[in-house]
Amino acid sequence: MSESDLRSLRFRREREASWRALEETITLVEKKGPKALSAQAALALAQNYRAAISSLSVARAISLDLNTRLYLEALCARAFLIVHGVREPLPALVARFLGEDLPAAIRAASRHILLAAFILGLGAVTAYILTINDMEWFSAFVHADLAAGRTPAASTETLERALEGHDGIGDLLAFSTQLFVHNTGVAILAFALGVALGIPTILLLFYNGLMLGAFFALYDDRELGYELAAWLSIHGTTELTAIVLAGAAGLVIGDAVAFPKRRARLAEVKAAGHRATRLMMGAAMMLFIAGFLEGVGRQTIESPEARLAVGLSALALWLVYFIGVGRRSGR
Amino acid sequence: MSVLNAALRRGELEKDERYLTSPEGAPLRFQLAGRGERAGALLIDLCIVIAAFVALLLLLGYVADTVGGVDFGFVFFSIFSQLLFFAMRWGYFIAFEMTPRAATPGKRALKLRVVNRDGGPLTPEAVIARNLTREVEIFFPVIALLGIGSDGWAGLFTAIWLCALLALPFCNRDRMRGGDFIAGTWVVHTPKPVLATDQAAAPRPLGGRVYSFTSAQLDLYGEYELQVLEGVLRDETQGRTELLRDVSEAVARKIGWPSDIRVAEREGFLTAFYAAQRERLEARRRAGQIRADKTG
Repeated sequence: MSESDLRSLRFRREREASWRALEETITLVEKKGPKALSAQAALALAQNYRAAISSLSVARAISLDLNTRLYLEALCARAFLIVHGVREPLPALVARFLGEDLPAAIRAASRHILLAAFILGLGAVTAYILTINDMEWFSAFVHADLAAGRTPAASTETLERALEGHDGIGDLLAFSTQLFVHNTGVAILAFALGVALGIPTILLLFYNGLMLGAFFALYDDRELGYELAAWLSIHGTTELTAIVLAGAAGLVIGDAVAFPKRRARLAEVKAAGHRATRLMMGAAMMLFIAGFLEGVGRQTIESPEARLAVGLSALALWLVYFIGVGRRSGR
Repeated sequence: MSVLNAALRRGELEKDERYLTSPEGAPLRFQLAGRGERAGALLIDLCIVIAAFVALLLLLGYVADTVGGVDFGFVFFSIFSQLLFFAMRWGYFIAFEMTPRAATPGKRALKLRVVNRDGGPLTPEAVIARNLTREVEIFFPVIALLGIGSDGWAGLFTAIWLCALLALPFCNRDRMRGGDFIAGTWVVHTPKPVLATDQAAAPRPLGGRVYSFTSAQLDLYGEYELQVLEGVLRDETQGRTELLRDVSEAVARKIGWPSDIRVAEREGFLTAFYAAQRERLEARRRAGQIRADKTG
């Protein structure tokens, strides 16, 4: 029996050249990126990849040469990562996200969003009622650092001055950045805590609502409630919506962990993770805009009426975006 | 899970390997990264991030000091230091895992990468999801513990939370942490294809005999023993001579080889036996009679 009788040897001799070519191409792509390939080379890559996959299944069936089998396993795995790892160019990705994925994700998660908004509102109402009747509650709801001097002990003038403020442009930008970073941190926390069945997310939303309600009670007590609402609304409508979105994202994950419906829990959590991440990215974008609105708009726009106008139109624009954009016709 | 168990039982997969189905429908083997390796990669990444953050912070401070007035410098530093912290904490991990290599420098150092468990491409959402979850797994609890201190209910709860999430990779077979669950990913070793010569095609040693074996002799061993023999023949290490001696004596004894095999002939004998045994087993395989090992 001569060597050439061995079928696995003949098989390897026939195909080894294409395997080596594939190996060279993927090494090149790994070093220099997919742009380094000419159109011809890209076509050859696709063909060699398929040939390697078919070689792999043949080798698994007929060849007992362990080294060849392991080589083909590794080669196909590595080529798969290159061939199927190519992504859309960034502008197209962003356009698709903003135009379709995000509004669709928001519409799909509408129940979670309403629930998150409800919890936030519940916290606000609870704190308001408790605090307006007894100012002692304020310190229970608002941490001293966050209050920054705006406590029941402060005079009405101090509180009023906090609503105005005449800072330079530099301070405004620094303040915006600080807010954006802080609020995004809170939003990310709300999202990531969704892993724990969404319960910490609910608590976080409620807690944020409590703070809001307590502040309102404090200012309303001194007859400054309307001014506060105006002061907050410029960025507040966008920011609160963003926090509601982030909370909803956490709830989407918690829902999938706790109550998987059609698929196995793992697959359900993964799909929920994708949807929730889109909500998160939307929330981050909104927080960025809110930070900008707050830092600049709040100081330059003085009258409460103008502030409210800006805030409410921002909210209206967001609602139009969520509900209207990206709908397929005929839905 | 049952598909995985069946493959493990049949011996197609090692214990830490998994199949991933490509879009063409081909099952591809990947080896899961070890837990220690992943922890090591994270450690390297954190070192890089902290070092880079400190270095860039100093640079920012220097720029803020020298350029413009005091006010401008303060504002400049304030804005960019916060953005820098943000970028280092999130942007580093997310940006690197979104590249085609799907690995941060720490992972690259240990030759690991992230893959989509379902065989599709690794989406940006998956990368973002798995990295945002690290917030609750590490950053937040650690910062909370440092801030609140480990006394009181809050500290106890945070400590329990941290331990529970850090234990997650130990509680499931795919070694997934919270972020992997949500994003549907595995962290695997980057496959490394290395092709050596086929032992059945190896040229006969000069002046060696031609060996022939009967069917009865070739029916004693199975595929497992064949692959062990292949490993022996490829072995290049120090103990080769002893190994060849032991194996050739064992084989000769088992198949009832009439004469002794001289030292110089051992490799030729084993190579010939390997080629013959392989042809026999491959032929039986094609006929549907797979003999896994000598007891089968």
